[in-house]
Amino acid sequence: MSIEIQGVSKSYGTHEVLKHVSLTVESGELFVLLGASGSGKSTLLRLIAGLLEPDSGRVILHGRDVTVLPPQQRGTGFVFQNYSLFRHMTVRQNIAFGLSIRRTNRTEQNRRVDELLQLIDLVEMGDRMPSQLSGGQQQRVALARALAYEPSVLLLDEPFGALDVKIRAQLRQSLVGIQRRLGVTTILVTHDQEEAFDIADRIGIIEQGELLELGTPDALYRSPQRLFTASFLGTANLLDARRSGESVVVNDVLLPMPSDGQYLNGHALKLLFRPEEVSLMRPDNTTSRYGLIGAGVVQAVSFAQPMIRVQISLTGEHANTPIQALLTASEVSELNLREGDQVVVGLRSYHLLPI
Amino acid sequence: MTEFRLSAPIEREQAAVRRSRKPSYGFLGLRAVALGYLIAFVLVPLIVVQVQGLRFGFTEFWASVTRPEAISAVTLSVYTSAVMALINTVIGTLTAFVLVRYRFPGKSILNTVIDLPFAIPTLVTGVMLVLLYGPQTVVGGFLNNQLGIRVLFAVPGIILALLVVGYPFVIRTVQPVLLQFEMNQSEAAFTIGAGAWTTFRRVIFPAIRPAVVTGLLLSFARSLGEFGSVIVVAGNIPFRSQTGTVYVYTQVEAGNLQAASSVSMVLLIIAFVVTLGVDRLLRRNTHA
Repeated sequence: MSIEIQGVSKSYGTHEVLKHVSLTVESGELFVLLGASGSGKSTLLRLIAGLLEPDSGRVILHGRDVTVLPPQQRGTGFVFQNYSLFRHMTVRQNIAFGLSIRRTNRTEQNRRVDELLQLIDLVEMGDRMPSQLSGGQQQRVALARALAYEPSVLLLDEPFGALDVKIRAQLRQSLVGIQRRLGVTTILVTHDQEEAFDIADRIGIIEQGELLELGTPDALYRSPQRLFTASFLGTANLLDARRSGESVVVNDVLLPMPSDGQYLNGHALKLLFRPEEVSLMRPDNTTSRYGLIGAGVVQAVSFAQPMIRVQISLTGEHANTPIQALLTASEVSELNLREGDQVVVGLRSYHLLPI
Repeated sequence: MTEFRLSAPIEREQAAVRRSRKPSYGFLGLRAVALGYLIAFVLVPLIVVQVQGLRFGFTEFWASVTRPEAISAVTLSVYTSAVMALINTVIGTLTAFVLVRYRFPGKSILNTVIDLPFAIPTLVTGVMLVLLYGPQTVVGGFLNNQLGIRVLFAVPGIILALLVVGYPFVIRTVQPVLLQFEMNQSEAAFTIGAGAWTTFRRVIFPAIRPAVVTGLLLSFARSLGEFGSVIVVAGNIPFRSQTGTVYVYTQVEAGNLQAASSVSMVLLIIAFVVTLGVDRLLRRNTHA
C-alpha cells in the first residue's frame, strides 16, 4: 500500500470540504479521483502532498505517517493544471531543479535530465524557455520535473484540463505509458469521465467531500452501488423497481433477478440500464430473448456519432421518465424508426441498486 | 431606380473603405497635440537649463559644479537617495509580498494608505517629521538624549523624509508582478523539496527582480529631486544638510542662475541615466 488515507476531514470555516475520507491506493496503481468542481478532489490531493493540513485523520505514504510533515519532506511529485513551470529557467533547469536541491552531482543531474527528456520526447527542447513551448509540451516538462527526483508517489491535479481535446488524448496515453514503465503509484484528479475511464486502474467517485464509491471503470459503470455514481457516469436509465420473490417488478412486468441483486432484501430499488443495453422491437415482431419492460412511443431520433440516439416514453406508470436508447444506424434503418412509432422495449442487461 | 437603390449601400461601403485608408486628420491632430505638449513643457525647459548652464562656456560650468559646497550638496543627495533606495527596496518588496500573499484585517486600508505619500504635499511631510523627531518631542528627545542620534538638520532626517516620500514606489512596482506570479510556482517548489528561503531565492525573486530594480531606481530618482520635505527637516546648512536641490534653490535665491543651472544639469544627468536604466528594465520585462 503506497498511499493510505485514514478518516481525513477538512473544513474551511463552516464549509466541510472533506468528510472523513479513507482511501488506500496500491503500489504501482494509477488511481483516478473523479468528481465535479468543488467536490473536494483537489483538496484531497493537496492534503496528500502536504500543501494543506487536514483537520483530522492521517496520511500515510509507504508506511510512513506524513500527516504533520511539510511538503518538502514528503517527496511527492505534483503536477498542476497550469503547469507552473519556473518561467526564468530553461526546460533542463526546470527538470533538474529537484536534483539540484538534493545536491546531486552535475554529471548525474545531466544524465537524469537527458533520460527524462527522452521519456517525455522533448530531447531537442532542453534549452528552450517554457514560454517557447506549447501547452502540451509544458505539461510534459512539468511531469518530467516531478519525476526527476524519483518521487514516492505522483500526484496530478487536472493535468490536462487546460489543453485541447486532441492533445489531451495523446498526453493521456503517454502518461499511462510512462506511469506503467516507472511503476510509480499515481493519483490523478479530474472532472473528465472520459479521461478517467481511459486511463484508470481504479476510479474513486468523490462528491461533496465524500468518497462515494471505488472500483474499476467497468464495475463502476455496469454495477454501481450508489445512485449518484449511476447517473454521474455516462447516461443512465433509472426506473423504480421492487422485489417480488426471485423476480423484480418494473412497470408491472416481472424480470428475473440479476445475480448480484440477491442481497437487496427489503430495499427500495432502482433498475439501472445503459442506453446501449436497450433493444427496440416492433410490436408485431417481439422476441423474449431480452427482458421486456413494456411498450412505448418513439419521441425523438437523433444522431449521436457514431450511434443513433432514440428517446422513448413508456406507456404506463413510467410515462414521465423518458428512456434513452443507443442503436446502430443499421438497427434503426432495419426497424425504420420514426417519431411517433410504437415500439417494445427490451433490455439486454440491467442492474439493481438500492435508493 | 431599383438599380440605384441596390447599389447605393455597396457604394457607401466602398467609400468608407477608401476613406479609412487616407491618413485621418483626427489622428494627425492627436499626434501634434501629444508631441507639441512634450516639446513645449518638457524638452524646451530641459534645453533652456542646459543652455543657461553652459552660457559662459564649459570652464565656467565646471567651476560651478566643482565648488566644494556644490560637490558636497550633490554627494549628500546621491548618498541619502542611495541609502533610502536600498532600505525602501528591501522593505517595499517585503510589504508587497505580505500584501499579495496574506490576508489580514485592515489589509484594504493599508493598501490605500500606501499611496498617501503620493498625495501629501512633501512640505507637509517635512512638518510631520519635525513634529515627531524634534528635540522637544518624546521620540526625538529619546533618540537625541539616550542614543545620541540627531535626526533634524542631519542626514538621518533627510533619509527619513525621503523614505516617506518614496515609500510607494517599490511596493507599487513589485505588487502587480507578484500578483501575476503564479502562487502554484512556489507550491511546486515546495513539493519538489525546496524550503521557503530557497524558493524565494531561486523561484520568486528571479521572477520579480526586474520590478524590484525598477522600483529601486524610481525611488532613487524621485529622492534625488526631493526638495520640500528635505528643506523643512534638514534646513539649509552647507556641508552638513544642504542637498543638491536645496543648493540649487539657494543659488536661484541669490540670483546666481548660472550656478543653479549647472548643478541642475548634474542632477538631471544622474536622473536621466537612472531613467534610462528603468526604461531598459521595463522593456526587458515586457519582452520576457
